Amino acid sequence: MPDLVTLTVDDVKVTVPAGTLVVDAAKAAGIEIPIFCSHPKLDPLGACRMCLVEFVGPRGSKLDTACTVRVSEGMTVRTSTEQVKAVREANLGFILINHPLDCPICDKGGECPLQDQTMAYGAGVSQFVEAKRQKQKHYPISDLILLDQERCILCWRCIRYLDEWEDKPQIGLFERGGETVIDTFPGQPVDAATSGNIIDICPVGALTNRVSRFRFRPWELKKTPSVCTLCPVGCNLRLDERVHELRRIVARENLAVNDEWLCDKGRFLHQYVDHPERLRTPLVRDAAGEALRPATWDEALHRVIEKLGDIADTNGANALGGIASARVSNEAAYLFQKFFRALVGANNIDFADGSAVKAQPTGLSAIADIAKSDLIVLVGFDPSEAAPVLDLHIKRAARRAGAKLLVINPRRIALAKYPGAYLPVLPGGEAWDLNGLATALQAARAANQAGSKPAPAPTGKAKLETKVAVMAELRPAYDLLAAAKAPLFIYGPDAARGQLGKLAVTALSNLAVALGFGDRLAYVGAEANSQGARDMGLLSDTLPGHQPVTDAAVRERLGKLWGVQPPAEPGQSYAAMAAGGVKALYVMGANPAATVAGAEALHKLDFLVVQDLFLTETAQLADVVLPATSFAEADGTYTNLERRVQRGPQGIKPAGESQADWAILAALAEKWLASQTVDTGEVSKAIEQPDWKKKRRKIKAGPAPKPWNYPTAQAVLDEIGKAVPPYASLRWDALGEAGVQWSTSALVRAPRRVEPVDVAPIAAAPAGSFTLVSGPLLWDNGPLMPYGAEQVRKLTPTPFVALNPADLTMAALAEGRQVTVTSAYGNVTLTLKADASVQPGTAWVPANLAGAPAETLGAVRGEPVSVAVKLV
Amino acid sequence: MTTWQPVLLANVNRPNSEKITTYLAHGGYEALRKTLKMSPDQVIAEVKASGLRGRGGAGFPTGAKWGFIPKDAPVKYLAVNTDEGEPGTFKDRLIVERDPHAILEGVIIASYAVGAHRAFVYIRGEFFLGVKRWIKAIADAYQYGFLGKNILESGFDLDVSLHRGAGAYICGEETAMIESLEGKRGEPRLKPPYPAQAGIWGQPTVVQNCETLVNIPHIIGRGAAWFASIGTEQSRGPKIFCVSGHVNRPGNYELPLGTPLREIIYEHAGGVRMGRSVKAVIPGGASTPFLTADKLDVPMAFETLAAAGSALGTGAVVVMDETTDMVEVARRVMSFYVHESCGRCVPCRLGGHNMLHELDIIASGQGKRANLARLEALTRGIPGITFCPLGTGMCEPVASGLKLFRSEFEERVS
Amino acid sequence: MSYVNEVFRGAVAIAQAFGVTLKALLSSPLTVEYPEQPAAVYPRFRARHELRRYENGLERCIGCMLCEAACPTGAIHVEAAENDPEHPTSPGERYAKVYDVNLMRCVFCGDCETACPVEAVVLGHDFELAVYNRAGLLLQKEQLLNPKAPNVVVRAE
Repeated sequence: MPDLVTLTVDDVKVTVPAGTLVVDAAKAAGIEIPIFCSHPKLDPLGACRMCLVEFVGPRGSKLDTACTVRVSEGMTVRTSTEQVKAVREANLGFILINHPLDCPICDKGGECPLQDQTMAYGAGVSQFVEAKRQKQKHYPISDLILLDQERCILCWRCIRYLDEWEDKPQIGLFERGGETVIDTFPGQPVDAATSGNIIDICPVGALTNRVSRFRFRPWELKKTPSVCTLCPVGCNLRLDERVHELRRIVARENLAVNDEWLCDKGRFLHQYVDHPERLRTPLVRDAAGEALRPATWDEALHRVIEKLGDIADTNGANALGGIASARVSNEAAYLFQKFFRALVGANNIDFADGSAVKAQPTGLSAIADIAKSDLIVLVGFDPSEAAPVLDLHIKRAARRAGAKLLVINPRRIALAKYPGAYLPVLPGGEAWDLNGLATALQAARAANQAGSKPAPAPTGKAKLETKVAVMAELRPAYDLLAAAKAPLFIYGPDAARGQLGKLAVTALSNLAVALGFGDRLAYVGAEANSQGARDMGLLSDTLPGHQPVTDAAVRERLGKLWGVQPPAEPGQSYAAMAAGGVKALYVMGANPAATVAGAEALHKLDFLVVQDLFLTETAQLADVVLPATSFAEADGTYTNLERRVQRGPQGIKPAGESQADWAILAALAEKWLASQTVDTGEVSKAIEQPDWKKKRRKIKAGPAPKPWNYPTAQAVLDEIGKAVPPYASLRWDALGEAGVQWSTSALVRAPRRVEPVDVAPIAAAPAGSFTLVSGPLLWDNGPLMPYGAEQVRKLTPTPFVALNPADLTMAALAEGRQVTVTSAYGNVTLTLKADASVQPGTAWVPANLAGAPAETLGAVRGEPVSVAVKLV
Repeated sequence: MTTWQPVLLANVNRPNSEKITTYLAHGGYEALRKTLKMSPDQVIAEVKASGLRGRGGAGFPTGAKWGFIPKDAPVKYLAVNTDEGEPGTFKDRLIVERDPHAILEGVIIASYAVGAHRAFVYIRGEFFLGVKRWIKAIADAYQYGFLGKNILESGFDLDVSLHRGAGAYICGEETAMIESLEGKRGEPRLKPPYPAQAGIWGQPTVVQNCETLVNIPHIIGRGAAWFASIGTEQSRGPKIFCVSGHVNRPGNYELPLGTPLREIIYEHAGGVRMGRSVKAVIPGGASTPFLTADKLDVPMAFETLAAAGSALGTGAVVVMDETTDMVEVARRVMSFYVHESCGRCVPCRLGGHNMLHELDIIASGQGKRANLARLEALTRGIPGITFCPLGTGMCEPVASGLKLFRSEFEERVS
Repeated sequence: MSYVNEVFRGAVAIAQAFGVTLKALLSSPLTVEYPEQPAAVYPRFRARHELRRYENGLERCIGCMLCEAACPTGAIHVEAAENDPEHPTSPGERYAKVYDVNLMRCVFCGDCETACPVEAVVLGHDFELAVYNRAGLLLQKEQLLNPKAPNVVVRAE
């Protein structure tokens, strides 16, 4: 508990923690002090002099800046004396000397602090008549941001944000005195992954959004608080709608999640919502070889249940499977698995990185814990590319809280530059290193415990030096771990796939347990709702609430809720289904046909339904395509990487006839239920019914599924509360704008035991070839990127393979050349790049590039893949 | 006429004065030997007892400043401010070029007193000869064992390095100088923390003006009592006065503090040129207010000049005779400040710009009464609200010009 | 006596009454032969909207949407876009890509005119707004830029 200080601001007594700035204390007292350069999230600067207030002291009153002075006991502050008013008026006058009055065409106009403060505190008339200074106007400082130097009032907020939070000081001050301007360095545009935040914090219209440029005026917008669904951080944002188009996204404060920041992908990738290529009506294919044609919902849904029913009748329920994505809401994920488990009667449900990955069910204990950790261990996880706002938090912890970073990754990721250690591994080799560390730490712990009994133990490390043999290359990592008092372990899908991944996760969990921090081990998935999809049981072997399908008690409980019990045997995994393990496939938001091999497997299916926003490669092969809504067009909840369930309400009208994922599933289930009848042996009478209802599937007598009745997303969440134990206490109304973290107490799963790991080191690729390394890239060619604004699309690189510069020299290859990369699974033609972050002997091909090169080469199979690189 | 045998400038007129041999031949580094036998606390006590106040302009008691340095800090720094930029000031340049070892000895003693093992010399970029002499002096000192490891077998280590400025007046402000030393844009820092708590790279730092440091060996060598016996009640010791402007013999004059201004002008600097009379004097560099001819008997000391409505500043006496156009003086001084404003805070960056604009109009004879009124409003509005004293300093000459020579301004406007 | 008096008064009254008629007979008629002849309106008369141009042909409107904000009936819809620096539509960075006026909603209050910072939108003198088709009352930018008779006086505020 920090010490409290009481001070008086304009006769209001207010008590705040010691160290608070006067400007914040005044805010707490309900008194606004105008500010430009000061920002609650940035270090004090004291440049604009707008917040000058009178401090009354024993030697009379003196003016000082409220944004730099910290409170002290008994301080008396006056914010509305004549002197203060005169200073504010003068200051605004000075600022407006050079600030152009082009408010009518300025995107900030209407939400501009300078406008507001001039109205509130300005003189009303200008004293100065001379010509304004001419500087560079509206020129790009990056693909996403425009700078207008004339409008800039030199508050340094952008400079400080990029320095203090991003650690990329890419905007600087140039010239001196009255000629001072802000600018980027020559030839170096701003490329920070969260650069868009400088637009939000700019107190004037100097920095503006290129994607939304001139597409809105603040007062015309309908503003809906929502959450981002592009990565698992779940940043809070605001949807700004005008005439049924999503015109802009800005960050929304949620101190527990994103502070008040948003990454550039979340901010600028939104034009897909209004994209003309969005699916607006259902499409059906009448016969193989024919083109897809628009259809009504009734017809399309009828076609789906008819075909699925037929295939289930002839080949059994296990011939049906469902592939979903972890981008969809909890409601959609829950209904998707319920559709298959309760109605179809199969456990064939999965998503990419679903059952193939051994995930920790509880996620991060809290994002806020990052700042409280002294060691952050990142295994196969690159926050800079996968979750930029998490990256901000980690950088902040490293730079401000002195946290060390232990990076275990095949590539020297950007965060590896911070104090700590970088441990290069080959893909799949994480288990060997982690096991080595875990074993050494266990041994050290045992030695310490033994040693501490007879006499007070010497500090752990001195003891360890003698008793524990650690491989030399693991020594820096070992020392960090041994010294850590509050470590946090985060791993990503790249280290956790397949059999080797399972070993790696076990070894990592052993490591965490050996240090006594088994509860601070977290898995962070690739897609936004990875945590929610797992909670909802969108997995072939796991029921809602992280319960295995083999658990009879859980099946019985769900049976009571659903009317029928889910099947007992685990279903097929994503890979098995995508390889053609089923006859009919229902794909919701996924794109298994992105690779040539994947598309070929889908060709063999008898029936394919795709529910998506766009006509993806998979949807092009489908027999029925159902148009779904984006996150902005439908209500739903999403669970982020710290188990925070957050609501994303509908912010704009859905495109065409598209419907929410959960609503489509609910309608489908309704038809499914109506289309079947219990076989009583009687011939059913033909009554007046639509055609599709006349033909009813006969099912065996037995427990019947309960009817589906979900008028709203809220109704689905209410049922989720009954099906998923940790969600039992969640109430729709209580989610509010900040969301609610579900409690792990309903799900005690933190590993406590050390499981032995039997692991061998991974062999490097044979001479002349390279080990394939893949992983996320922020500006990849992910499912929505091709439909973003032009400025955003430009950020996606042409598909490339990067090698270490030394390897490039050895192999006599030149950067920029076209090369053919061949693995046992396929070959692709890529542009060659040199990249020092790529370790020697490895070849880096990011995931989700155009044409899916990494996936084609077999990067996501969870096993080491060696590739040959040859000039075309 | 005060007769004063120069102490600080004793060496400057000797042949080869910059050489270490010359310095050693005239008792150089003796004070250092004496210091190394004392404890750091004794050195600080001695300096405190001497009553020495900083010669860089603000006049902060030097001993007290050293006392603020936390004793337990692992790393401490000393920074020497040779960024002599105040218009009318040229004393440091003379010492740096003619007697760099006098400063260096002060640097070593001061570092010993505060426990710094690293000293940085920040020198004005335009002092080309000064830079050369400093480098040579440092190299020689290393060779003679006055710098480096285990100085004179005392166990005290000190390294000194030199950093050239890039031409910014603001870098004479101690925190801006520290920023510049660190390789950043020369702009003042937010205070607190003061350099004594967190200076160069966040470590406790003592920043001292060159001339201040030259006093240190003499205080140690001759004793605090000797030093305290010179000067007035609150201004002890000798001071170098840089006399320039309309005098017959401009130059650096070392005299005890408290010497009357009239004596400096008429007896040491040879009087006003062509026998004219004095119209105004800037007693302490361009950011101090003017003194008029009736104030010439004021003793040049911190407290007496403050009472006379001005300040001792750097002791740069700029004399202006009866033919001087005070509007033009104000305009020229203002244009200097506007050029040197760092651009950080609004009132200085834009307010200064505006003052110059009004002065330009008034000086050109196109001005109206409204221009004068606005100018006056600005001189009242800017001081006290700027980030650093530069903004306040820039208003002083105009404000005092308006106060003392108002008629000249009024004649120009219609 | 009183009878004569009454007759005399009556004659005077009749003469006075006919005097008005006679005067009117001699003056030119007030009736305007509208629509054969144009109907004159006062300079400050407010009718159909017009979008003005500068003398060099550039559009005045900068698409700031202040008229849309000022409109009490929501009759105006503006969408802005960035000028092509090579072929600008209006001076500066921004122009109106879409400018729609719904005359069915408009109450001709003139607030759009007052709000306009560049005197681009004005209410003209063309009051002949009758159309056979409702769609004819939805004016688009092209129609607004090319009024029948651009004779607008910019009113002082």
